[in-house]
Amino acid sequence: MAEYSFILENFTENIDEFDRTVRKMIRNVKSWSYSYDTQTLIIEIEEAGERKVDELKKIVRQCL
Amino acid sequence: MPVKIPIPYAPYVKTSQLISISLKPIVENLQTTPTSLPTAEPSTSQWVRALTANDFPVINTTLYAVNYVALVYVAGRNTDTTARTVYWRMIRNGTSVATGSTSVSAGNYYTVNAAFHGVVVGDVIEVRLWASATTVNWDYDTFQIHPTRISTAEALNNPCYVDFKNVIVSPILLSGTPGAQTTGAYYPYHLDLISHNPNTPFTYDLLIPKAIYRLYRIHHGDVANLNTASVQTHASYRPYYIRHYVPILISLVIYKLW
Repeated sequence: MAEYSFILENFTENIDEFDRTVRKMIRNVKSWSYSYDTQTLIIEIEEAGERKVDELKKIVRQCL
Repeated sequence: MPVKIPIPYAPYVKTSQLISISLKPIVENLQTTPTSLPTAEPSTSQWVRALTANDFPVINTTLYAVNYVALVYVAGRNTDTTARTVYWRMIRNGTSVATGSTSVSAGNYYTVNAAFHGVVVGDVIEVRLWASATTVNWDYDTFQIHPTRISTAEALNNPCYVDFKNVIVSPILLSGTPGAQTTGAYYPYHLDLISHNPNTPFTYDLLIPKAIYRLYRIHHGDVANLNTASVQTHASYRPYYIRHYVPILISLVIYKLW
């Protein structure tokens, strides 16, 4: 399990749609959370190895 | 011939203080029959609480500053034969604080460990749940409010000898099939910089509490998971929860320079 966190200034209120898209575009997502207070998105991915945060952030932006 | 003026010892006032913290007892609710979650975000939350003074810890002395963290635990189970997704949203006074989703394996339990930082009397806090199928339910909830970032007026910005004399683990949950996922340390601060994170009573010869973190921070809801939730899943634990060490008796000797 690997956890990635990064700042996202604008986040959607359409949680179901975001969830569907992010799980389709990023494999093995165990969970994600977004704090409107700290503007932090945390993604937990069930897989070995590391991903580049910048690439993940780019994919997540496409899901919004 | 120049006159030599002797350098005096730095004058100071020495003050002793004892801060005693009493957390409110936990009330756990375990439903006899679990309630199915809706498959779309509901307009009313499953867990809602208007915070009253009676919900907050009792502290024996007047503090210059303290932040309170409401730890809310809501749990249930995916009874399906396939993995399902649980969605959650934390709301404070009608405004979204955080949101997220977690995949829960077939037959597994989930626990939303939500932490509302900076709550005050009168706040209405909510945890809202929905799922990808009605075969996901919820049947457990509890909450407790913990203090963090405390300081007396005398201690702030002054050198202090600090004895964290009594440290407890809290909360300790007993209903359902509980399991502690994490027991986080407490984090004393010097000049708003972390020193180290003990999990036992500990004495510091010198801490200078500053405006941001003051004497210490708690783990869940401040150092970690500040105004968000961590959802834990487990094959048998429900609640599967994050707790931490909480200083409840702190002795200070303050050296106030003047």
